[in-house]
Amino acid sequence: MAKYFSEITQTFMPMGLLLALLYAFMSVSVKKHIGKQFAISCATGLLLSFIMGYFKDFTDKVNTGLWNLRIFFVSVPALVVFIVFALPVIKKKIPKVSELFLRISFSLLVITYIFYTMPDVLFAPRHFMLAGQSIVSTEFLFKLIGYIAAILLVAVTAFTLYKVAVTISGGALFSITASVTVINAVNQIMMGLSYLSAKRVIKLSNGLFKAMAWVKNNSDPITLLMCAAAFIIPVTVWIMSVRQKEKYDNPAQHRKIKAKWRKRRINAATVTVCFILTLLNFTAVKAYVNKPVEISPSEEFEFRDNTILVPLSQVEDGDLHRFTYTTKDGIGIRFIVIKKPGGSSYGIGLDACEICGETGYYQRGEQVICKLCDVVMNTSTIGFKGGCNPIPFEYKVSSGYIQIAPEALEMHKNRFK
Amino acid sequence: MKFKKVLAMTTVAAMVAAMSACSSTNSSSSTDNSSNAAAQTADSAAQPAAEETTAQAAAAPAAAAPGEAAGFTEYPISDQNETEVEVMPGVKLNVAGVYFQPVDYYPAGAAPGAADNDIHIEADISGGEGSDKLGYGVGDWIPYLTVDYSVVDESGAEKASGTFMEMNASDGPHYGANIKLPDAGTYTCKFTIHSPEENGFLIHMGEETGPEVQEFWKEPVTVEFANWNYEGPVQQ
Repeated sequence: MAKYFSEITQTFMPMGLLLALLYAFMSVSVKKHIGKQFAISCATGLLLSFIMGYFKDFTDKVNTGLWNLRIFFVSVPALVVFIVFALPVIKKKIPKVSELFLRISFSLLVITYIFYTMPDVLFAPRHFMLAGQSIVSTEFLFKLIGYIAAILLVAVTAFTLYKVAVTISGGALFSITASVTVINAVNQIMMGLSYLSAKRVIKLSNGLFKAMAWVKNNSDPITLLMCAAAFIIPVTVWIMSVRQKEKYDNPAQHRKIKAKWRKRRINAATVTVCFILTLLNFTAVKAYVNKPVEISPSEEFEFRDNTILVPLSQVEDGDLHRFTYTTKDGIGIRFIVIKKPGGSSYGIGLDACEICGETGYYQRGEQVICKLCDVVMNTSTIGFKGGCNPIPFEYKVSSGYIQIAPEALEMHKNRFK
Repeated sequence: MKFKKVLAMTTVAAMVAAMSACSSTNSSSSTDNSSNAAAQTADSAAQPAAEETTAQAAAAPAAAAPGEAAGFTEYPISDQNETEVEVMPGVKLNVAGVYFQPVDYYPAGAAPGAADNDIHIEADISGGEGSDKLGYGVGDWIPYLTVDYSVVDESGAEKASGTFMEMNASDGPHYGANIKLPDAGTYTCKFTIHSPEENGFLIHMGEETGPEVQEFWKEPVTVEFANWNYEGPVQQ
């Protein structure tokens, strides 16, 4: 649940901020029919996203990197046009032309921001199912809750941010909108350069490559930077509400003014809480999600007549059991034993596989999982050779014990550093 | 009404024009193979041939990417993604390193799939100059190898390592794995190629049916792709 909440918030939040600020700015500066235009642009973006998401998920006809580049080719110039024609001096000089270009660039920005983000968000629940969970499982439900919680967080953030943004001055709103969209554009430019560089279409200078790598490796701080810039709005509104001295002629008017500012303070507080949750998502939630898994400690076994003896009674509970045999030269060779479901046979192998080396396996519920690559093992194939399976070795089951010759383990000592 | 029509038409036209402006980039991959980023190390027998083989490698075309025209682009590991390594005196293998989006496999669960991985990395290893002495045709894929990989960042910290699996794709068999490599940056990617003898691959003996050289190399050889400017995970 936490993982999906974190991932969807990370993907979805920049778009929420951008749309809220752009729409607020247009509502303040253009006003006429802007709600309709915004709705049509959003619907277009969503339709394109659905089509793109479908083709991405059900065909191999979509090269996402190339499509993102195309999106950036539209959104970055559109942003330049938007900022130029949103400048007060231009708006004053050529108001009609300015409005036309503002509207065009606004629609292009809304469509492209949605088109860039939403294909992955719309089709995310399908990926939960692809991960092997049934749609009626508890695990699927938890993932869905994480997904819905993230969408709600972003939706509430965007809605309340819009509500408070339309109450501040046009100049301040323009500066903040421009800052947030430019941060996003820098990110997009770096992503575009990264794609072209990877394809060897262009060769980045060392400095530019390092800058690109920094931007790509710091998407969380960049999103937080966008939040920080947008956070100026609720702070401004809060200060305005404290300092407001609107005149009134009668108690009814006074109550109305107080109610208006109380509403704005509630919206400002809501945005603040949402930003705090976003900050927590990028720090605490992410740290929790990425917390390394501790593998269980090794258990004792018997050693008699130069034979490793694991009593069957010790491993018949169906859980994963780990043991370590230490060679004469001090190398600890780990092996695992798990009783297979619905039978009397045992899955026995090294606590290492051919692909991931000596990383080891851990148990989650009834599943055995590779610690490095997160592959869920088919318990019935543990003990078979190949792939992600624990590397098998010779043993026999006799007289109530799993009996292993030390030589069978020693031949694998190079796998354990 | 007229204003709205103009607005709508202009918006659509601008989008189409801008998006089609960059459509040609899909056709121009892997054009620059001329740098000196790849190097051969470790195997003493391979060292003397390094300069000579690097030049040949630069001229050799990279393997065709499966479905490159559609949703798929193969990215070379470092500017020079293909090189030759001399495994025994006079016997060379072509080694190409490429990566692209993580993939799923059949049978599922046999190896880490696309979910939770960042890239699929491949070693395309085929017979090179003199490989016919061991019975391989030049350009033939070499089976039964154990190929270890490691990816090290500029500080020397190992960011990924393991052993490739043998697998087939639309461009033929290769050694590959899905790996986690989330951060963009400059890396060195190293392939260690073990002898097929370790996996029980046999050679005919005798003049009648045996190849000219009737034993495999004994020590693993290492191919290094240095200064790999990795742009980050490949989107699916």
